[in-house]
Amino acid sequence: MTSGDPEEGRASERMGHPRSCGNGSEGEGASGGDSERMPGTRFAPLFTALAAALLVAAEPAAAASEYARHWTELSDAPASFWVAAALVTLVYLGWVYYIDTSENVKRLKKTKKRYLLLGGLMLLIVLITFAMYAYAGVGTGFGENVTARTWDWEPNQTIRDPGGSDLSGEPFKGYRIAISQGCLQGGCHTLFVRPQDTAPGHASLHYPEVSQATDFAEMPMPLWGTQRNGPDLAFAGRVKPSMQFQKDHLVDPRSTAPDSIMPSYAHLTEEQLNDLSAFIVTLGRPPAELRNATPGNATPTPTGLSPEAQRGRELASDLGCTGCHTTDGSPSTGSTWQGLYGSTVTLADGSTAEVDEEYLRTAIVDPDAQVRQGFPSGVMPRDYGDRLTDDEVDAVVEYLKALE
Amino acid sequence: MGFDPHRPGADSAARFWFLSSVAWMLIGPALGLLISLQFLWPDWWASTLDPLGLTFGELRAVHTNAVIFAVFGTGAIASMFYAVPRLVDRNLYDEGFGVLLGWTWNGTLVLNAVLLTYSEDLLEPAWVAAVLGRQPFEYAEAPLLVDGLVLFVVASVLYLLLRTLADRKEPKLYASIWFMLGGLLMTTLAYTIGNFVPTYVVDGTSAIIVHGWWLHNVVGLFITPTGLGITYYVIPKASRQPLYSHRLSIIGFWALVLVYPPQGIHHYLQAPIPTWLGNVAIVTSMFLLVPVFASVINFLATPRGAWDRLASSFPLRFAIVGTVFYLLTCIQGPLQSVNTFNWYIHFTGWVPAHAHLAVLGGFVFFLTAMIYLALPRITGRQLWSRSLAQWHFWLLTFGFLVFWLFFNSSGLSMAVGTNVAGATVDQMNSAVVPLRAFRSLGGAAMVLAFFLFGYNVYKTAVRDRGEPFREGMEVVPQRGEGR
Repeated sequence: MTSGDPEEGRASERMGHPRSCGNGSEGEGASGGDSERMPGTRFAPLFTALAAALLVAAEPAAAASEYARHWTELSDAPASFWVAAALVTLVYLGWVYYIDTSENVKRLKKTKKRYLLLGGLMLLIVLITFAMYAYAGVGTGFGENVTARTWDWEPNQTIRDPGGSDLSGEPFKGYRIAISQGCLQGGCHTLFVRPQDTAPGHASLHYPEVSQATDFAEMPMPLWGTQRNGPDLAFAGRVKPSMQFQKDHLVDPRSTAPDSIMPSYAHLTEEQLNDLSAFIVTLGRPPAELRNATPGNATPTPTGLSPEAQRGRELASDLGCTGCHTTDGSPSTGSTWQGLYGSTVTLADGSTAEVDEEYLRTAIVDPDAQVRQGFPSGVMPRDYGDRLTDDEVDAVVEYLKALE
Repeated sequence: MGFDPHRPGADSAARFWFLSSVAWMLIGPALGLLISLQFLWPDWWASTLDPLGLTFGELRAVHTNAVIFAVFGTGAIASMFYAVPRLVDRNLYDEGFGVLLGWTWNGTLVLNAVLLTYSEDLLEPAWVAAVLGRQPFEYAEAPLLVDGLVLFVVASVLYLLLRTLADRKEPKLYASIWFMLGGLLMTTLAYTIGNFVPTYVVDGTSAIIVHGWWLHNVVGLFITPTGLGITYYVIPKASRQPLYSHRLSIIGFWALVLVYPPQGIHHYLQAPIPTWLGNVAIVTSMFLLVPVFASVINFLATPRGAWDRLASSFPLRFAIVGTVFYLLTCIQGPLQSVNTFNWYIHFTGWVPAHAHLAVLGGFVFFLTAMIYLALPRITGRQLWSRSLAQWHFWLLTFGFLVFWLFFNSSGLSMAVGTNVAGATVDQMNSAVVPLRAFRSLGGAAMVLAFFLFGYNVYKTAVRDRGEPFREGMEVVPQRGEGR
């Protein structure tokens, strides 16, 4: 480097390069500088190898495009995976060999070998840590432990609105739309409940249970999310089991949740909104329950409801009360409503109370004031007093009275 | 035939990539500012941008992809094209191919942004969704087509640089080369695994665990090593002092290779994952302090005796401020990965604030230092306006401090509200609006700074209006000398 920028040489030396300046040009002109060729032509072998690797990889990708089940064990891997892996390894080895035979590298024989080895060592460390993750990961969350509530929907399965409206949609399509919109991995919602979210007195009152690894066994690409700027949705299908509600919420979020900062999804097509709502109401609910559902099954209509009780029934459905409270006497997270009115219940402190209008009103507005024995406190949302007018609370009470 | 900065077409690849990176600097941060307004005026969004299909969940992915791959990634590769030939005393193997790759890279990034924005229309038929549809994993949102193109460009860049390295005149490899090329080498492997395996190979919780591995390695194996490589080049050059310790730099590199890759699952600590894997992630996260201190001690010890240049050299100033932010983020990182603290700040704005401290406060500052160092040397013109550069520095630094402090405190408030005080996320969203307003204000100052920088670079490099460059002319002028 005799010509050019003297500072360049000096500063390099200061970085610690005891570099021999100026007299290294003999006999090396042939190897490096033929830059008059078309850019890229000397990379033809590399392109060919890459194209071949892509072609081979296309087959598993095409299989995935049919939403086929992926692997649960390494032995599930298709032959093309191993071919692609072998091809990539071969390309790498061939390229190392090519560099190895370069004239100038031969000149630097002493150091070069070590550097190639060290590069291999870096890749090896990366691969070993990945193998650790694969060992821990592959196979987690499958098998016998899969529960009835595991999300298990496939393309072309349709559900009708469990909230009773005449909407219907495909949960799997809705799941694809949720991915495309980044609902769950775009910084807003999450799809798993941590143990601390269910602790008594904890904020996350909507989350009755902790998520388990098996809850996602049938999701080709699970969506856990990494940040909450909106509520967790793992049990959204129990909290608000109404497609109509979800659809209204998607179109105009602040009409149903005044504090919400959610974007409006009015620009989606009618069909997309129905599918997305269908996806939301499947979350956290046993799929079998919804597959067999007929509209309105979630809240069977007692005969002869007064208009006010009817209004209470709609409110109870919209608010998602029936996600925890059954109306047919079967046990659930909250007490069943069948025959609740007029009965005598035992409270957590051992005292007894008669369920009258006043009791029900308090139970809705301030649920932790009178917790029934055998039920956890802090589970039911405490904000119904803010969300409902007095008239609306009366309507719900009227509905509960009708379920005697 | 060593490195010749005066041959025809010298540095044309580095020049193209540097200018591309500066162009992306006008877009990526501005998108971040735009989406921060969703938290303040959701109704304004609902009436203007939401009807166009530009919703928060989509633009956030465009923003993260743009800053990681377009702003920093482009700049990091530019820095390699600039620094590696100089450090090994050999011309870049093929400048023309480097420029060609630059066009491919920019096209790929634009394609990625468009596909992510209109992803809801790309779901039918199934093969379209598989090739062009958004993937559901954070930092791996890019569709299959984009993944293939990104890998092609990164592998080709690596190939170009290693061919340059193979014909080198300087036998010893300086720390920058270890960090830059080592990082790029590991990135090709990590990107392949992280973008294909969770999406197309395993499913269910298995896929999440495998994705956890990539989630942090995009920072650990791509941004961190290449960014540190840049700084190892800038600080000795700008302070005109030899590196404090070569041995320390190599210890730092190998410690990084050893402890960074297994950390990723610390993002999912309270989730149903195997406990032992979480423990491995926490322990290696704590050990991260070793490579961090190795590099930071080296950076802060190198300008010894030349600290006056901190006042006179833009590259040194940006690099040192970046080092301080980097140190801060790397003390924060290991601490927040510990269970007792993690359960508290998990899911809140604390975590993205931490990510901004690393990528923007640390590595974009490093990259900016490199651009201030390299641009006059590539174009042969000194900076068009040194006053604009002053404004750039102070607006960016103070804008960032305001932005970060309020981002962090909004996250902490969210943590108190939802984890301890029994509030819902929606209630807390209303409560932290003032904090988020100041966050956007700091962000606006930074976006303004990036635009000033972009204008300065445009005038310097494209319009050729600057005066001829002589060594040392990137120094800050004395009072009253600025244009």
